[in-house]
Amino acid sequence: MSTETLPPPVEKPQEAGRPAEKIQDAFEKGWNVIVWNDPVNLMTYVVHVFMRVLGFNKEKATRHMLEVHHKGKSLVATETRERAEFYHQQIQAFGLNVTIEQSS
Amino acid sequence: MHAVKRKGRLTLTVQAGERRLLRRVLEAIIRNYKTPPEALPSPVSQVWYSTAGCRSARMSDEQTGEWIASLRAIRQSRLRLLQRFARQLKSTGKGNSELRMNTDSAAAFMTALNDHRLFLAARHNLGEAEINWFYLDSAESLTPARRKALFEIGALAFAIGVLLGALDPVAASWDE
Repeated sequence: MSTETLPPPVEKPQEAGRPAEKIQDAFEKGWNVIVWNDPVNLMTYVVHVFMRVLGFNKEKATRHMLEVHHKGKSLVATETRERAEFYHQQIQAFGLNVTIEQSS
Repeated sequence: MHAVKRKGRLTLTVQAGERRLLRRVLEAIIRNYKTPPEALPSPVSQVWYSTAGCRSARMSDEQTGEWIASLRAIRQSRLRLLQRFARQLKSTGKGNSELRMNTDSAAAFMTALNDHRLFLAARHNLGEAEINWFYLDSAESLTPARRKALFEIGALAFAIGVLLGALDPVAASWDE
């Protein structure tokens, strides 16, 4: 039988601040969902997507659609990262140009 | 072409010429939905599977790959419906044809038609100027392939308008 003993386990040093940052990232509504203009999608279709995905009423959906059309983009939601990613996927699956970014 | 919604179900009625166009479009969509993103023409892939949002969200390469796969899965989930409609439109008669669907299927169908508009615009490099030419003589200056694509983009806009009018009349009648 060997008399050698195993060396004590080496603890991996924790990266300072990471867990706290991740928790803050997950719960803070700091992620903007931005829809960008394109020449192909119909205005009525964009209104429909905003109502269906984001739950907007007609007036709010129309206002954001017109902002996209006239100004080139519209901030349609500021959410948690998880929720923003969900909107990102859903809106893009409908064929609209959409990005998400952390608000400054 | 007209659509009627009754008791949660939508019936789309198409004439013979519209049926031929829709069947050809559906066959193209099915083929393109089955094609891996990297095998699509680059401008199309950049629209259908845009990763601009992944970059702005600072996603890793692995997360971006998963993102593209999830978008492809959403498109492929429409395949069975589109294949059924394509079969139903194979009739060669001169009379009208009907496609019957529930509202979820109608929304998926409409989105697939919209995808084909995006496909054609990207594939044939048709932007705002050309799309606005649809009703103008300027379209005559385009090559036959681009003119055909422009015609299909316009025809599918009409089809989407018809579907949306029945499916979501509130959205379909926005005013400034």
